[in-house]
Amino acid sequence: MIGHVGELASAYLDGETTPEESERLRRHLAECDDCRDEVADIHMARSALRAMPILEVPVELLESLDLVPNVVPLRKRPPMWIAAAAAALIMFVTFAAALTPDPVGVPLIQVSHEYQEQSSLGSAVVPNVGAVRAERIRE
Amino acid sequence: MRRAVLLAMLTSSIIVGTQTAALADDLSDRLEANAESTYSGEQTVVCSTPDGDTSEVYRVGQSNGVTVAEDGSGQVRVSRTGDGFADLDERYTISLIGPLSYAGRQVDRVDVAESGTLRLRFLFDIETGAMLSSDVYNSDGTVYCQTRLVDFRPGDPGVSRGVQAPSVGAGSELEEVDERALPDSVGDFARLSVTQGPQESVTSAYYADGVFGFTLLHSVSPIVVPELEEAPVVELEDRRYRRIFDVGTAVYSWESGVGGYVLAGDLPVDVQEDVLELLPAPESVNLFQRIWRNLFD
Repeated sequence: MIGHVGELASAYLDGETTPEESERLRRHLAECDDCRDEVADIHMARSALRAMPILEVPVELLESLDLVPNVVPLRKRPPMWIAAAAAALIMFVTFAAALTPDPVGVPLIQVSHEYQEQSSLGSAVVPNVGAVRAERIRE
Repeated sequence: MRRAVLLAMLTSSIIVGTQTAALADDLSDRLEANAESTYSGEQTVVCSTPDGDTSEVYRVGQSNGVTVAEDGSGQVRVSRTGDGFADLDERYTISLIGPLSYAGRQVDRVDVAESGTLRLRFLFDIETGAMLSSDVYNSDGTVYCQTRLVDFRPGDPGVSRGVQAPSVGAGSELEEVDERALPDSVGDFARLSVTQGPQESVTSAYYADGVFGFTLLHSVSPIVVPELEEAPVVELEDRRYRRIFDVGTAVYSWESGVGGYVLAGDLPVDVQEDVLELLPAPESVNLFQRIWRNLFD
């Protein structure tokens, strides 16, 4: 719709008019009901637009419209299940590592003693000397 | 008693030379007589190993089921004797030759052959039953270890005089065994006992074939024997082990996919390699494999 204020109404609402134009516009609006209505309609429409939510356009749609520049990669947020799985894996490894015992130390004398305790013919062939040797090594 | 006492079985015997054929029982009887004999003397032990020769001299005394051995530095080891002997595997044959004269004593010689190859030779004093010498042979006929009892004093308990027999070890037979880690047999060696090892997480199994034997320690964690940490790494057909030869005893350590191992035994060198080949092979185990093993094995 074209009223008395014309395109000046939009510039006025955007604060882009000069002081002289603004003053002239305000005097006109005080006398012209149609122009007041027009300015009010424009203001309402702008407010309604600003109040609308910002929607992310699906990539597939952009791709179908050939609007995705090849050189600009689009970042997709990873699905929640991947993040949850990664967190679970980290917790599992940490827990399991805490449970993993350190290497077991067994001195040679204990190895020899164990063998001497269990062996029968072993001690018949070489009576007891292995354990003696082990004790000497420990010294 | 920590392990079953098994009588030696008569499986086969051969006649060697002009002497009487010996039964497996003969060897068992002589080993028992040796265990019950009273004597003292000095025992030399000489072993020829792939890593060099080892030798020691020990002052020994035996009486009342106790053997005492003291090395040159005064370290003393006391052990029980005569707990019994494992079944003799049927591939062994025994021959008896005697009486012979040895160092002024009348002795019987007992040879133990494996499939016709001499593996052991004992000389037993006829009067006391004491074993005066033993020779262990590799499969190629070379000597692995030999012992000689010199300065032999029959009837004299020597350093064992008044010594009490040590008690039987505290470990009891375990009912649950991880068969993957400690199989019930390794080649011709039968598992005779499985007990708690020297550490809480270590299991100890003893295998024998009636002639030779070895102890196998196993844990889901690596087993570290400090004395082996600086020992040379030996490679047996792409399998790498830490190894040292104690006097009369070979000790190996390694880590496999089912845990850490230590093997100690009196096996001749070629038998050591045969046994190791049948056990879980050494592997480079990473952290995640250890975690998995710890949680699920």
